[in-house]
Amino acid sequence: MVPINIFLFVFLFFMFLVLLFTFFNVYHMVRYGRACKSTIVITTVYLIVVLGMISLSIYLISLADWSTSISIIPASTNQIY
Amino acid sequence: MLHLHHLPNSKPGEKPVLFLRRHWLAVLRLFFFALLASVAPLLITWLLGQTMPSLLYSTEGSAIGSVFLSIFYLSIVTFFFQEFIDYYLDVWIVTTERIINIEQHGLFNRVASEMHIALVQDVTAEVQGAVATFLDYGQVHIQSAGETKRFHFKNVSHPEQIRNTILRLAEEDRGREDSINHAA
Repeated sequence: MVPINIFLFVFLFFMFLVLLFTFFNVYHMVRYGRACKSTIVITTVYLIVVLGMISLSIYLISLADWSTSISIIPASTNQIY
Repeated sequence: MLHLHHLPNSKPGEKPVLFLRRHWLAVLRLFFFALLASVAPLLITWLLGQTMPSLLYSTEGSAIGSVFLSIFYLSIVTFFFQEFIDYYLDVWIVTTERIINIEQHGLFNRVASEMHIALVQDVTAEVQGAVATFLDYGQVHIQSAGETKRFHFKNVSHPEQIRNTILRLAEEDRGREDSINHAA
């Protein structure tokens, strides 16, 4: 039996990657983007969308029951003998 | 940030004339693929609901599903924006003195080069295909004198107008340089 909360670690690792990429994306926009309103608007919209999606994901994940486990080996294989 | 009126190494009196990016169709294409990818999990959820509802609505199924859906949609947004940055930061600036080519390849690869506009020898505008003809976008190739290096403006709007503007600016700059040399 494998506890399903192991998927939360997968999610945490992925969140780290998303935040890392978001940091580099925003850095590039601020460092190399043209100094105009559209650069500021695009960067702000991106940050709102990403942070909104992360918040929504955390909310949805918090609703689930993570105390259960799943069986990798099918139950029928235990009944060979 | 890149200030058009304070470009690096700018000469006194240098003015920006053209600020170019690829045609907006590139963004539209990207947006379409992101939209198409967004529909895929909904289709899979619907299929699972039809074929294996017990798996989909089980405690474990919904918990693991919420993780994978979150990862999938966040990947789409991150990938979309990264590709958008590639589009947004690829720029060509034509000033009264030079042509600046800035290309962003991925996150950590950036190439910036420039050419003195008086060195421009030949400018070719190329429009290929029905969509490109209808929307008036295409390639502009700029050949400098005495060098094999060519600048390539990819999928820019109004390539013919750009070609004419660059040729006119090159002629004006050569005229200015000639008058300075004669005066000296």
